[in-house]
Amino acid sequence: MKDLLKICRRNILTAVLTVCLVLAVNIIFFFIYILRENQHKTDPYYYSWRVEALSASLTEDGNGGYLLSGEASERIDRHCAFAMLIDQQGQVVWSRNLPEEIPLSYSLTDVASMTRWYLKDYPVKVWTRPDGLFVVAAEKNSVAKYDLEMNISTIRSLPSYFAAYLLCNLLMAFFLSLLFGVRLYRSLKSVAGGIERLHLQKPLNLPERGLTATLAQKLNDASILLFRQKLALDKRDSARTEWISGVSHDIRTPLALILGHADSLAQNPSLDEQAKKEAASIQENSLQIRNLIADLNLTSKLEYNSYPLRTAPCSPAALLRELAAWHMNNGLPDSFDLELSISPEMEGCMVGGDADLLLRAFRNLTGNSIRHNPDGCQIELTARQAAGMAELAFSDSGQGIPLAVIKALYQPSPQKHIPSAPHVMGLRIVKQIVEAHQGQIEFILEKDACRLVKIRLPLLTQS
Amino acid sequence: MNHIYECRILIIDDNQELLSLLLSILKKEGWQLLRTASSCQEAREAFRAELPDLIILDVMLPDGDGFALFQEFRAQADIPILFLSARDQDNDRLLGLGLGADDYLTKPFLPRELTLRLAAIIRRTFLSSAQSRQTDKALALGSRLVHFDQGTVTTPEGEVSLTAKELLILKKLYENRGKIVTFDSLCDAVWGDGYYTYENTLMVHIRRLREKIEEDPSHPRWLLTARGIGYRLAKEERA
Repeated sequence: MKDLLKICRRNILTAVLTVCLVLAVNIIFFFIYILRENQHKTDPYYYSWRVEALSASLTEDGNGGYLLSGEASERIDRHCAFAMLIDQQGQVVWSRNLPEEIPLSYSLTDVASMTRWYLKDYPVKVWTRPDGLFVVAAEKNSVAKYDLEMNISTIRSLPSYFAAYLLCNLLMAFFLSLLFGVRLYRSLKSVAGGIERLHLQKPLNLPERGLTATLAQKLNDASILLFRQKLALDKRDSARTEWISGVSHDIRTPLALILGHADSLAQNPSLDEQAKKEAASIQENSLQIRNLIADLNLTSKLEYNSYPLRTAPCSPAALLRELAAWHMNNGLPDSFDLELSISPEMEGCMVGGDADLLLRAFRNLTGNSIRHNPDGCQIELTARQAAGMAELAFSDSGQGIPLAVIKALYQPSPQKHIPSAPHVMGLRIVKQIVEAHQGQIEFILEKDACRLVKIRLPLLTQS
Repeated sequence: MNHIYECRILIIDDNQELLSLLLSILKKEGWQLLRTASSCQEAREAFRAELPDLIILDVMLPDGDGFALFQEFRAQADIPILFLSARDQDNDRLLGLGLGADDYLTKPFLPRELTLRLAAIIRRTFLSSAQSRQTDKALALGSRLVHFDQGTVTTPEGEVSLTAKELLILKKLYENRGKIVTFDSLCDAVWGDGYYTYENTLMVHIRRLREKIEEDPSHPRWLLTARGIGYRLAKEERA
């Protein structure tokens, strides 16, 4: 939803900026136009029919007639339709290029009309002089004349009107874009919520109307499809887990009988030593099968997330100490040298986890070191903080985990050709437990074997 | 009841072969007063006929559920019950123990483990006073005697008192005698907290305890350190 708000905010901001830009461009073009117009006005040819100059060029010749300078005559000929001088009595006393349709006598009303508008459709300009009214006409349809009358106070308040106009434009742009933004937000909100629910693998039922009707429909369809797939997957996973659980349950009672009878035989004084040894071997192997069944059950549950984690704050340092104590209390042979090194900052650090399960994972790692090195080796357990996580390292000086086993561990499905499949299962459980705790596991290879395994778990608290 | 083997045990399981095996294991161990039942119905009849002192109960029975049968029996008599089931799910174990079962053992099991657990339940239930008397016995550590009930140590020089914390530490070590008890377990037993911030306090208490129970505290014979892990109360004198 935060993203959606961001989109709408940006939408409004973009709209306002667009309006500002359009206004700015308009204002710039307006001023450019004004400047160009002024440049035209300074051009003598542009305003060559300026009545004031032409009127000054017309002088009395002393014989009761008038004389127009050569330059003015040329200008009138080139740029104007005609020119004339009307005396105080309304009679045309001088003219140049005067068309026939133009009358030679004018009343006061004719003059008033002509000065403001047109004379027989000729746009005219007039200039008063002591001996009459000088009139210059441009060609028909060459000049538009408008009567502009404005109140002075209006003209004075033009700057503030202009500012208000700008402000109103901006506000209007803002509110309109806000309105459209809100509409967009509302229509996208349900879609965005739908995408979020889809991400959480929840079923969708978005209203299929408005701007986003098609989008909502597609999302609803996708949700149904995903939900069906999830159900099918869950059903398959659950069937697999239940099958393993059921089989392991059914094996347990016969295995209990095997164990019991083997124990009875192993302690039977009437049997010879060889028979007792064989009975003990049956017992030992039955126990191994029991452990394998437990591992199989656990790995299948972890694989399909059906193992209920009992998460609580637990200290990695305490877990390592418990692990070391467990090995020492359960007859760790003297050929093994177990070293525990916990950095001081790890004391007081807690991770959120299922302590029993984590201990199980750690025990699998150290158990591997013990089982695969019958002649003994040095086992080191270290705990420290690294990159804000609790890093627990398990290393030994023995033969290490073969590269093939590590490769098999990262195969999507269990491999048939790994000779030591049970060991892969033990490590797979370690990997699954670490991943179930949002942790990381790293197998550090040296030549073709791994003698150092690092587990990193997210810290809850730091000392 | 004077002896654990005088206990009358009712074994309920639908597998006849397993019933025979259980009978054989328990008889060999010393229990003779045994009865078996292979269904809820048979179990009810056996229960009515003679009230057992302890019941070994399977969860999945042909005509009912072991958990329901457990509640039925418990409603009639407060006798110890041990579940022996092939159901190894945590939920089943928690349900069984949550209902009030004395123990929950999953199949397959080691015969020795079963008999030890049974003996522990019987001792706890019927021989508690005798057991406590045994616990209250003085613990001999060389020439010194620790009296847990009085919280004192008798030394050749005289009697020394143990503080409450020292007594708790020693009890915890005694309960796990011969085994390493981690710093964390000790702190949890004494202060109900983790090891963090108690490192020095625990060390001081151990030093004082050694001064009281060891003849030469600098070279302890009984209270031994497992470096970086915890402490151990030695089982017997080293040669």
